[in-house]
Amino acid sequence: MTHLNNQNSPFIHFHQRINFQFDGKKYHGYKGDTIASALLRHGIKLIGRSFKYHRPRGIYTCGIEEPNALVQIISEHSEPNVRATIKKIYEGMEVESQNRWPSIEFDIGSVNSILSPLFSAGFYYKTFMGPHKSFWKKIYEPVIRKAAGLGKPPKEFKAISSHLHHNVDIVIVGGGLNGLLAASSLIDTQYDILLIEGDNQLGGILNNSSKINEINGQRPQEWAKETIESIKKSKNIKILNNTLVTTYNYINHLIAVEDKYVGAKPAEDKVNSTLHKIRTEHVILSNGHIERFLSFQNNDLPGIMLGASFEKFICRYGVIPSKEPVIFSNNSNSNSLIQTLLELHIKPKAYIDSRSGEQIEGELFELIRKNDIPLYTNSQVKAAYGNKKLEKIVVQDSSGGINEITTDFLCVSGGINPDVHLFTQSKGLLEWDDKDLTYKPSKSFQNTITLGSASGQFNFEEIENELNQKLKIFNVNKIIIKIKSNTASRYQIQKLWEVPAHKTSMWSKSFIDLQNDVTTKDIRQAISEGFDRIEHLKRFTTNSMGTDQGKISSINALGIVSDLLDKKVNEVGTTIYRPPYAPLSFAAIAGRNSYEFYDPERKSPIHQWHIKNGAVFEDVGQWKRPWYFPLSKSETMYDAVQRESKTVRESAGILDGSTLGKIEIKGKDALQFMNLIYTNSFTKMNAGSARYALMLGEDGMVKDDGIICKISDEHFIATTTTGGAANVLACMEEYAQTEWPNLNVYMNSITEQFATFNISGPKTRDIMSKVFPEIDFSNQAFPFMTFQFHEFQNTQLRIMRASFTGEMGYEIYVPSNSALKIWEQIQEAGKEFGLTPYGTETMHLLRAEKGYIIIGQDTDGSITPIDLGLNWMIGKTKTDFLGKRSLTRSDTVRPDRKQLVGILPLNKEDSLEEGQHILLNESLQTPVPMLGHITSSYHSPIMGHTFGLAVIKDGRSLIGTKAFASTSNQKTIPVEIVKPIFYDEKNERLVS
Amino acid sequence: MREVIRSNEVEIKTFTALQVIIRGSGDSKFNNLLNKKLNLLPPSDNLRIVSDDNHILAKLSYDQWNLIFLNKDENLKVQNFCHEINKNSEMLATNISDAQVFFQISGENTYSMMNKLTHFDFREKNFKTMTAAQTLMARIDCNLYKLNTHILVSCNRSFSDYFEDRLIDAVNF
Repeated sequence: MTHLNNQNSPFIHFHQRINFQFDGKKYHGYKGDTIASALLRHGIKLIGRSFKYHRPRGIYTCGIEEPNALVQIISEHSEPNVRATIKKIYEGMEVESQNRWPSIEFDIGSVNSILSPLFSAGFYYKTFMGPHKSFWKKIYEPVIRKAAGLGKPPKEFKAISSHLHHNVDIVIVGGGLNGLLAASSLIDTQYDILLIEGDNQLGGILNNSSKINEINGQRPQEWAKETIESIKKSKNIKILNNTLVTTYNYINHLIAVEDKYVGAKPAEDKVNSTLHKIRTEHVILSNGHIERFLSFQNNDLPGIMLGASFEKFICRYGVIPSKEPVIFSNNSNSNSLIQTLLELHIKPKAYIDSRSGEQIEGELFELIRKNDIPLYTNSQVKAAYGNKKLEKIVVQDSSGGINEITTDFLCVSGGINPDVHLFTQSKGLLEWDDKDLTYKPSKSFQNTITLGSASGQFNFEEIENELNQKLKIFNVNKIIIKIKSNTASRYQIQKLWEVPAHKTSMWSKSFIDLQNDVTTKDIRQAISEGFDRIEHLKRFTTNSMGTDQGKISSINALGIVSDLLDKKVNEVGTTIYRPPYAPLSFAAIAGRNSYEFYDPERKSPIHQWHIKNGAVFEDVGQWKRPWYFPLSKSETMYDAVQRESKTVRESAGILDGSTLGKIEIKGKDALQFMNLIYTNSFTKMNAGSARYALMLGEDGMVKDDGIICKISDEHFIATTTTGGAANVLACMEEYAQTEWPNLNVYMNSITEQFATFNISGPKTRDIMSKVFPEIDFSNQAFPFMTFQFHEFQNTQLRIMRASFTGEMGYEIYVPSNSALKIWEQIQEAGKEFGLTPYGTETMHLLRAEKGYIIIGQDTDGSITPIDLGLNWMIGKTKTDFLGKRSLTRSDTVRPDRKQLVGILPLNKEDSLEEGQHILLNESLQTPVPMLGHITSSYHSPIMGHTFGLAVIKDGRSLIGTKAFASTSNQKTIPVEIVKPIFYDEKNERLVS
Repeated sequence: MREVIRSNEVEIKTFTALQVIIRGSGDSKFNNLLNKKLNLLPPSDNLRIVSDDNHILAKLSYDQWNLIFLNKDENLKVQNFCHEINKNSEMLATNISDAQVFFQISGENTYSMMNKLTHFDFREKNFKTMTAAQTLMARIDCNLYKLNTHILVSCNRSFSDYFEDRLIDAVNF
């Protein structure tokens, strides 16, 4: 297909042939080709089927704005909705068209086109209302979901993407003419600069068209080459090619995605894309403009393309989509396209302009006349016709006569818009330009500068002034730039939002949004139905809601609406362009924070021992904690937990409690501080003793608990819950710094400095005496709730007599570096006493038997100490403590608050489950009056049945009452409300 | 000191170090006491580091200093130091030598590698040599110490496996 090649393009390597497949058929292109340019090289125009009506669609543009040519890349895990106009081909690439079955040529779904009169705007909202509400769930939704969407979800795969943060002074978005000029003026200045370009080539318009003849006396390509070289050599400018800025956040925070495999198959084991997160002081938006299309009957046929895109295919991609195109325009932007074609000895079949002969620029008029190109002024393309591709157009000329022109290609240009998406994302304000018929950047909200056509400045003569004026804040040298161009000296446009249809029928269509199949008729219908606010209209019609966000058409829609409402366009307003500018993958957003790095993992100093001994882990916050230790693969969790808890009750068990939060508190006023932070009073507490303590929020609700060790009135060590460690320390710091700054007190986290072993059970004292023979563990020497420091094997331990299981026990605090060694010594010593390691599940069971609460499980932020029956922990004589005032509020003292109780099934075979509601009556007839719910439940090996803790209304007065627990299968279990303690109520074992 | 990775112009080594968090007012009494014990005057500017052959002392907040002992075998010295400081009721010295691990990162691509894991601005104009910072790296809390020849990063020991894997990953990808 060499006759369609433009060998002059320096960007396509015609000597490097690349083979690929489209819809199973083999094709070839050249290095540098996109899928679109390679297919055009073979004369392929039909690329896909449209979203709603399954109409044949081709390639409409040559860039990121493409609404039609979305394809599925089979060779990349079936990645859907890839723009054929962006994606470069590589050897062996497999591409498929989308939204068609069984084939693109014969698509069953195209029946929708016949039924299209039914599918007008608001079809879904109006149609799927009845006859019964169950129809939506069972029929409509499954069918619509199956039919909806472009492409198919990708197959399961592991994408690799990374994040890279940048901190710079200036970001230049767009490496076209203005971007290069701005960057070159900032070479070797004090600014750190990122120049970001979506293409793999810098140059923009210099590569894409023949608009510019000469820059400073040089040919554009030579000038660009020299400029790029000097930018590359600079010390302060970094260039990111193949990188698309998708998001402009507050404050000057940009997100950009870099494709690491342009023109190559992404490697399975390497980073495919990089998400750049950029913080900058200033942003220069030189990201150019987007050409608009025109609405006329059948303006979606394959073979219709934007004029500037046609030229870009020729200049940038070296492919001539057609050798006899017709050009249809309403503005002065088509000069260079004609010039480009003529340089290749291609004469357009006709030039059709909606403007009068007087309005057409002299240069263009002369060019057309000199080359004998058929010219239609004051004329419009009324319709396009063809079977799956353009075959002819119908033109209404200045006299009103209808002319048919046979052609395979129509280049349309409806004017140009500054690419304002990023500017509006930055909250910059736009202003409607009545002369150029477009919205232009008006007022920046952040440190944003727009340059060139991105700022709505479409005349090359003005570039020098604009640059010098806008870049003077950077104190750069005066820029001198002389440009000779092929364009009209002044951009001119005539209003033409829609050409009335040639032949109207129920099936005739002039599209206003190609991707979402929205027609101008839909717009009119929406207005007539009262959706005259642009944001409402957008949602009712889905206009500009596709992945292209209506880049080539949204202004046309505004124009049509303004005419229908008889308002100015600026009175109609514009919809909001939201990030991202173009779709980006979830893989890029996640970066490396996925799969093995999904969440940071914390491991205790004993972790490796746990692995070696077969522990099954559970995630507690970020900690990996042993859940249980199965003796064999066949031992279930239930069996393991029953065994572990029985062993603790009968001999001894040890838990790795290293995850518990630990805080050292010291200062002249440490005692006063502790009395203020916790509900308990520590004033009369002896040094060397420990106390279970509660911390409340200001609302009086239980926030955390732990054991406080008093070393002296000026020095304490507090433990916290595992999950609450950071919050408790932060809370202490906050109150010390803001509420009680007069107190001299400091606190440091020692959570990670010490591992904690919780050893308990009737044989514990024997084991401890064996490991630490020099310590007297008798009740007299080491009573319950006391602690001692001991030197042991060149390290200092703190041993505390405390227990969370109800058995006599100790907590051993060991510096982390020595922890594993001492843990292993305890294991070895405990063998003869039947010591077992146990996990968190057994810990929960044992503590629940004893009625000990877990913060966050038995409490939920709405439970006071009184609700828990822990009045004894409140220092009644203290003048103040955190949450004190709230404990006397009417709500916190009302008698029917939920209170902690125990629950036992009356039928011991019944199984209680956490979350079950407690009811007074057996009936489940709604509304069911509920007393509360079960917060903890386990099967107790010592009782031989399940039991639970629950919070229920006025629970304590209901102790001894029969109630019911609702089950998930709509039944109830008879239960008895009991005291929340099931084991050793007199604490005989605890203090033994 | 164990080498974690040396690749792509980045070299990472890991080690544990004796370390003490000192809390206090930073007044002259505080400064004199530390100067007497360490022969080093604590920095008064926030995030500033001072060092000698044996110590790195960084001011990490208005009332907190981190003291790193560069010699490994001074366990007893650290314990004594904490004991002596804690005699003063208006100061707190906490030995956290077992609580953290250190990563020494050097090489031409140090900062570009680290910026895969943190948003932190490492440019000299915003993060001067001999200053410290506390920030998130790979979503965990880290202390950064920018020294003359390399950068030191410390994190809690429970994260050490995770963080080491993230560093290796950042170097390789």
